[in-house]
Amino acid sequence: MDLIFNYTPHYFLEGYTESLKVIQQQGKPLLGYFTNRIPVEILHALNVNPIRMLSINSSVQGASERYIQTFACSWLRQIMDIGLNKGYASFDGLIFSAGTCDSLQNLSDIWKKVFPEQWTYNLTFPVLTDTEAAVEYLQNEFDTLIQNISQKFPENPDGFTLSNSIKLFNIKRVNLQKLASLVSERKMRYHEFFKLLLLGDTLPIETVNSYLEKKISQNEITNPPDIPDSPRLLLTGGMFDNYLLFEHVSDFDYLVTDDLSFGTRNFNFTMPQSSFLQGYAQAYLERTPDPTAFDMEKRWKGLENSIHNHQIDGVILLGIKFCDPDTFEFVSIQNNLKDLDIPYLNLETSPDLSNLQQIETRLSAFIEMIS
Amino acid sequence: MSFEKEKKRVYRRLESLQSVKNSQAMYYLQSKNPYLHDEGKKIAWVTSGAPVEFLIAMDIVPLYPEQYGAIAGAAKDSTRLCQVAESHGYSPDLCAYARTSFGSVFSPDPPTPLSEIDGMGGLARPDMLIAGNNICGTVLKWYQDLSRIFNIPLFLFDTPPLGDTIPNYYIDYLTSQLGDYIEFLEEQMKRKMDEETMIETMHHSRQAVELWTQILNLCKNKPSPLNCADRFLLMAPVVSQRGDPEIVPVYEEVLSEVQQRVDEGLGAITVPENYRFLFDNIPIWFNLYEFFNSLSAKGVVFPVDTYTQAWSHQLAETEDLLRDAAVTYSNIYLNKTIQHKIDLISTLVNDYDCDGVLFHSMRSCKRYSLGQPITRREVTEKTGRPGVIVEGDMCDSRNFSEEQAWTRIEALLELINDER
Repeated sequence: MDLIFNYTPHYFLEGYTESLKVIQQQGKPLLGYFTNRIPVEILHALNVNPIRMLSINSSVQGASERYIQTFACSWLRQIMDIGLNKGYASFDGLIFSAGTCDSLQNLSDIWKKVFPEQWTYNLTFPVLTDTEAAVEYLQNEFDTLIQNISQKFPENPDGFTLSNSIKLFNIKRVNLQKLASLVSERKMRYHEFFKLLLLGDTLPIETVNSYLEKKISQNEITNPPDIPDSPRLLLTGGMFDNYLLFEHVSDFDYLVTDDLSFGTRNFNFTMPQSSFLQGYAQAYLERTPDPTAFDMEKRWKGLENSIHNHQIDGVILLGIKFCDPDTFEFVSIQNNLKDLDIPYLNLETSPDLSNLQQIETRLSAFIEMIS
Repeated sequence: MSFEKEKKRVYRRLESLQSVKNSQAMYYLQSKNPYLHDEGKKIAWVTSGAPVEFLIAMDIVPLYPEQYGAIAGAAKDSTRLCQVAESHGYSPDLCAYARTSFGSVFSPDPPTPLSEIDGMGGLARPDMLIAGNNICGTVLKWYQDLSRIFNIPLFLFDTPPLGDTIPNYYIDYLTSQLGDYIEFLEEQMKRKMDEETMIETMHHSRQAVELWTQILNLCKNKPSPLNCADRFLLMAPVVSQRGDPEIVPVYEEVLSEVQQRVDEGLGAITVPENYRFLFDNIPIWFNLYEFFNSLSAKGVVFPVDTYTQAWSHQLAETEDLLRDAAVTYSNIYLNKTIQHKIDLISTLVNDYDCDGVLFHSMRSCKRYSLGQPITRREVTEKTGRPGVIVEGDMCDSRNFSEEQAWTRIEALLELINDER
């Protein structure tokens, strides 16, 4: 699977849905998933390729209105639009994350109605993260997932070896952590890094690891690009995946780190290399929580540490139109930032970037203000 | 056919509604008792799907920000309170109950019209918060913010959404949390929960729910003895005081009057009942009587709705009280699949012999509303009865276009007339 080595990340992501067909030809079943909570190691150990759903490349706009109202999360509506355009037809199945947000919860039911031929599965997550009962519940959910996938996709010549899969995904996380350091040290632009993050979730893990290692060594030998030193910005938000925003608006080069679902929250940990599901479930719950989890104190502590460690001068809150968890959370994040005397800018957009010009103007004014 | 706003009242007055109002007035009055804490009581703000019986058994007065939203809406003060919340950073796309609640917290003594109308001036300040996410995910963020604002503890009862079955480990997870819930309440009240009191409270809860269910079932009769607006007002005690023995005689009185209407062949409206509809979702509180009264004038009655049906699930009566509560509090309308909603609405349409369905779609409540286009189509396929989706809001009048609503309902009535 040398596809990615022949093309640029931009080219690959631009043709995301076409690229899926090439990956599918490898022979392993392709399972699409929505949030960073999905246990990718388990899926990999079951001999399927876990590929994250991206909202990039929708050529059919508005078709989803027949099935889902316009006030649903704009990211999910875009996903639905792509689905209606057969953009996810290469997937052999989809794994929804239940117990996260209301829009995603309802979308899973709607999807089953609209695409009855596509296999779907609801993996339900506890909102509580710090109790033994929650760990036990998640462990059972993982166990049920394993049984269901084994039944649906029984071919697994190497057998279920979870620890091997954990090792592979940990390598990816460590590689991404190294690349994230390059961004923080101003040796790599954020938009280049962000595309690698997306590739990391959308290519088979074996390919990803080789590719990221190549990128790291390339960056070590090339001179750092001309990236402005300050102000140092942090980007927080949720399910935003349209890298074109960061490519088109050059002021996003001031970003040195993020706190996105597709970003840092997806790789700032490693999993214990064990075959025991209980430890695995516990490690999953101990990760930096998403806005949909209960432990907000831990979530804020993570953000505060990031602000401190990366010497952040300002924070960009990037909301997705009609994303309730983000929109709610931004109020308390703003209050906390005021207490820390950190300037912030609240932006809202949708995956189609319909207000790109407005974002560019506001970001430019913000940077001028804090510089 | 064209709709004009009907000024003439076509509602039949329900005398026992006054007893419900009195019961609610007393309940709110007691919550503002300045000696409440001296009497060993405390106040909890709770979500409508939270296990309230545990609070009542512990002498904790449960108050409902959602119910407050309904009251503020009916008093036409909720939009102003939503705007107050927005001035504190909350997006107008968020739940209007939540925004109304934040507005009342940031503006605790609203000058007019609410305080003049109901004398409430906001809910009594809470000592603790209890949230159950069996009704939506929004309550989690909403109550986290309330906890931050008031600096008081929050207990979350996590009920992950249900699929087609309820696995044992799911019930184990919820049962374990209910154990933690009791510990939390004991810690707050600095005393142990009395088991006998808890069993008694559960008994009173079952009594109230049983009476409420009987009242709802009587609406299967033609003409329907109650309309939507009646039930939306009558449901207040079974939501907020479930487990309190004082509401049992109140519902006995309501049941008796509703039964009498059925016996005498009297309907909820004073004009002939021409169309029977099911109403899906939370009502438009700020337009409650205007909306239903204008429709009633055309002979439209709503013998059933999905919202008030939510409180018709009785706690089972076995020896394992916590497991029973775990099953009851997870197995509810909003915590289940869209297929379940389609099946339930179809059953209700048939049981109550409805001519059609009115779906109220609102950005304020995504859990309730998203999926209605598919639900509408499938309910029609299953029952042969048409449906219409009307956009509105429970509390934010800026999201409701009356003209657009009337146009759609008018089209539905014409469709039904054509088929008759």
